[in-house]
Amino acid sequence: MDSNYLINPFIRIAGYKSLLIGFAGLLLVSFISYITGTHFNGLLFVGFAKDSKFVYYFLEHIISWITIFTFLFLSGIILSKTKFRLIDVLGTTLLARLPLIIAPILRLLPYFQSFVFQSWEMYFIYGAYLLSAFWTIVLLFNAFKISCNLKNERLIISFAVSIILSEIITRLIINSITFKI
Amino acid sequence: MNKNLPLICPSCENLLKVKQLHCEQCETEITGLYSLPIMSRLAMDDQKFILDFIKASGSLKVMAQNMKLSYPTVRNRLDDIISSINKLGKNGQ
Repeated sequence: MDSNYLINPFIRIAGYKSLLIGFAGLLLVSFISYITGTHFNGLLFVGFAKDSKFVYYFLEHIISWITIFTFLFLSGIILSKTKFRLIDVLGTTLLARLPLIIAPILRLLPYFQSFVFQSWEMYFIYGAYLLSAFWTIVLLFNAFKISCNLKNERLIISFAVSIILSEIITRLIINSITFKI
Repeated sequence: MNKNLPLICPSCENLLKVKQLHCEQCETEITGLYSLPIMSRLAMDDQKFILDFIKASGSLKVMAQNMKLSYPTVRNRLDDIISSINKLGKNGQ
């Protein structure tokens, strides 16, 4: 497999195709998160607790995706000099979240279904999660770069600001929902 | 043999111009000083892209299908070529 495909599949996949594959992936990640009790409170925070309905796990991913999409799309509107399509930003940012499936899948293994605090199992899961989060950020960066055709400092600064703001907003929304469910 | 049109002077790296044109049929020769058209000053890949784009009736979707690339990738390539044409246009004036 072309290694470029792993960090920038958007050279070949965008639009409705990426949205469909991304949505199927989102359902799968949500389902495995639900059966393993893996919570994603934004992109950079993971927690483990089998305490909720499927819809809550699904909402965590949807909220995180819609928030980062909104910030990146607005950045594109403000900074890009080209006409870009909403569907490309929607689809590629959703597809970029696929690596987040790694930690929930690992938790399907008997070793990682329950573990004590500061055990090697815990560090392994967190290590795998950090790797998948880093991979997701690289994919999101390439999704933004290709969908909105931004370059250089405009691309890097607007992406960094979007990621930070979307993380804050996502956590606020998810926390407010937690108290209502 | 497919020969590439030289654009840059190998001695001083300045942009070359056309000084002589020749008719292969009647041996007529025209001497003068002509600038190369902007299209011919683009990279060969870019020239091919433009030709393919015209053959695809100016449809980026068809281009993307033919090149097996995503729509935004092809559109970004077109944007880069437009930017190159604008730069060449400014430099040519």
